[in-house]
Amino acid sequence: MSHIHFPDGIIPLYIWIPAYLVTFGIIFLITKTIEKEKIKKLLPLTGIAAALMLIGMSVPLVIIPVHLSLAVLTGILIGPKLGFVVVFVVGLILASFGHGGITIVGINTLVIGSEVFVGSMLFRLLGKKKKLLGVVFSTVIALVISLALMVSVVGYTAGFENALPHTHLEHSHEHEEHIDHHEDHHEHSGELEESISNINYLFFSGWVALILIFVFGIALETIVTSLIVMFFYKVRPSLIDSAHNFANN
Amino acid sequence: MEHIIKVDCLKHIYPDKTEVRACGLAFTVNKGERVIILGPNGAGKTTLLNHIIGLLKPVDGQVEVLGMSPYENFNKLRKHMGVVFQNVDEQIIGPKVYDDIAFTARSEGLKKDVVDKLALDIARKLCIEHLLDKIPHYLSGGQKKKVALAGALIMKPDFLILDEPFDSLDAKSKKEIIQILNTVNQDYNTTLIITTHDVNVVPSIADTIYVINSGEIVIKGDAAHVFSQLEVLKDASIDKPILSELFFQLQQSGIEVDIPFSIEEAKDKIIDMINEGQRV
Amino acid sequence: MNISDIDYVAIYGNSKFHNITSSAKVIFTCLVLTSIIISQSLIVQIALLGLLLSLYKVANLSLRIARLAIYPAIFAIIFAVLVSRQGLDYSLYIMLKAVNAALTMILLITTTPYVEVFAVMSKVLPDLLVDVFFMTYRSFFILLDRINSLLKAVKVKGGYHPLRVFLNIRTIAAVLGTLILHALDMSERMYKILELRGYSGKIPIEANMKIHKKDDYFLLSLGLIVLVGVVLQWNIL
Repeated sequence: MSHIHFPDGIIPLYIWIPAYLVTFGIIFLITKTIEKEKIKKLLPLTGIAAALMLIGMSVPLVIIPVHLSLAVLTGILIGPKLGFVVVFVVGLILASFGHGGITIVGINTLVIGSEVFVGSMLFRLLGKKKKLLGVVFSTVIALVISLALMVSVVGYTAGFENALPHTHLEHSHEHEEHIDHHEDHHEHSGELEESISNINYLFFSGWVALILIFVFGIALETIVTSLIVMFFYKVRPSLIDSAHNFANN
Repeated sequence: MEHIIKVDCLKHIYPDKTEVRACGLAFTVNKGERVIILGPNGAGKTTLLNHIIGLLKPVDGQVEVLGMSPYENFNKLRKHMGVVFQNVDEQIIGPKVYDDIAFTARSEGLKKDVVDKLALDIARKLCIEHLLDKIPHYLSGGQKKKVALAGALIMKPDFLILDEPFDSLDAKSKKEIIQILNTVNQDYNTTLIITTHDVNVVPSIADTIYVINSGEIVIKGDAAHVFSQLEVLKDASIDKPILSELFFQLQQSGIEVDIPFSIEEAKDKIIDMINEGQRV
Repeated sequence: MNISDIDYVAIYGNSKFHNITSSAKVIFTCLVLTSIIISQSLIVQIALLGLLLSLYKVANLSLRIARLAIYPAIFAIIFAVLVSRQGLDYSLYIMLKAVNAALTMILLITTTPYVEVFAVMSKVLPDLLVDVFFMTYRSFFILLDRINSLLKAVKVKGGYHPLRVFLNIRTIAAVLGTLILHALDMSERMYKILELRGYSGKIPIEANMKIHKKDDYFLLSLGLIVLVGVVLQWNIL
């Protein structure tokens, strides 16, 4: 769900270069530790999961104007390792036609990769016994973590005082106190107070709106992911179990 | 003659509990033979092929390829087989046509010049050398079939297994594929095992035909034998080839004539009849 | 304009730029991207935009393709104007940087098929990454065909109505379900095919890396001149 649409030239070098290095480091570790048989078995499904993610973003589905990433679903389907690789490949393809800068691919991979990793590992932990609860819980937690990461990156780049509604709110309080202090000396204090409360209201609604968007996004992604995972369990029960070695236990 | 493939009363149960059988007459294949498995949709043709390839494990019955169980010796037998599935789109893995044709040869670790020669030879044989640099999803259906066929043939396998190779092809492409398969059979003595429900192509490519209906092998024999068993064919919802139908109608009208199985044969018979002054 | 359109333009486009060896175009792209990222001058960004637009002309690319750069431009403007508030010059500079980088990537990808770009990159990327890319690429076009026919069927059968949200949601769920089932079956068949064709953990690919044409050398020289120019200008300032 959460990825950064920043173009090139905004995120500073000292963020995106280390992000790329860490991403490549993780991919290198994945290639060294993943079993060859697992790659053979899951390669077609991996390609298909990535293709579905790309189709979701390139076929103009006017029917529902919502943008899902299906990253947790990918993690649940093919596991965290191949899921991470898929996130990188999809990011690279999207960046090739200007959907996010090429320099941002590393950061985006880490942000969405965290979603894949956390979602997949939590599902591995919880989904063995309680499938539906496992998928809902792991999707929500994974999304909250990746959102927090995304907000941190955007906030750090743009300056927290500019990017986050929360700090806007504090600022406006400060202004309010400051102006209150001089209230008696000001001719139009009433007007000012009103406009300040308007500003407060606006910032408050900005904050609420942002939370609402996040909550709506998390809810939608969780519902879609849960429905699809349960659908998989209905039609191909062995598929997910084998990706997480559930069947052996 | 020793059979290289033997299937004896096979039974398979799919995960959704669907049961498929291939019982009745014995299914045997000799080296260099061209075998057609004919039957309506859902008769069990593809299940039979998948067992011969070694992709499925029989619940009951026996499958032997070169004296081995194909399921248990998949990796050993794989190298003797070339396979083209019904949906060739999913079979073409290489990013470019050349990469796809050369896939197995490269995966076997052959040297580049050897791979190049093998790929070019087979591409020439199938008249697709002009496609080598193309990207597969922009090819036509017939071209994709030829590419998949070239990929299956590059290592000159002992037998070539094709599932519905004539499906959704135009008349010209069908003719070309038949010609290619017959050439490969003659030049390399490659055994052909082909499933189809297109009866009109059968006489020009089959030595032996097996008709499967609801999991039973109901007829076995050459085209003349199979297409004379009208009642059995009708039960299996298989139409007769147009030529057979025409000459069968002539027989019904009291004209003494054998049923031909190729255009050339039919032409000769008609000329003979005209020359003999018979009413056609 | 989506991935399949871009792929088509790259494969069937015919221009001097299309005919340049893929590896030369990839290296040129890296050189120009580096220049765009390290340059801190508005003038240089304007000059680079001029250069890129001339190359679009040479490559016979329509404005419809360049329009893809509007998306990053909008994001850059939002960032520059609303967040940084540092004046028009800075906003323009940030926007041009984003647009130039996007135009450079789009120039590469609309004149060089994805397959060739990845074939060049396969020389430095791990096998697993390259295999996942090629599988994604093949699966994308197979599934795209499938989803297009499903969507056509939905429209023909009246399963989509602009104002009936619940009907649309139900339809899209059915389409997704069908697509996922098809995708699952397809992945199982592809696995069998990989086994049968002797997949050994690497999809082999022939990459034509050899830079040999006059135009290859010209493009590489141009990329180098751009980079050296930007670095020199950077040092002088």
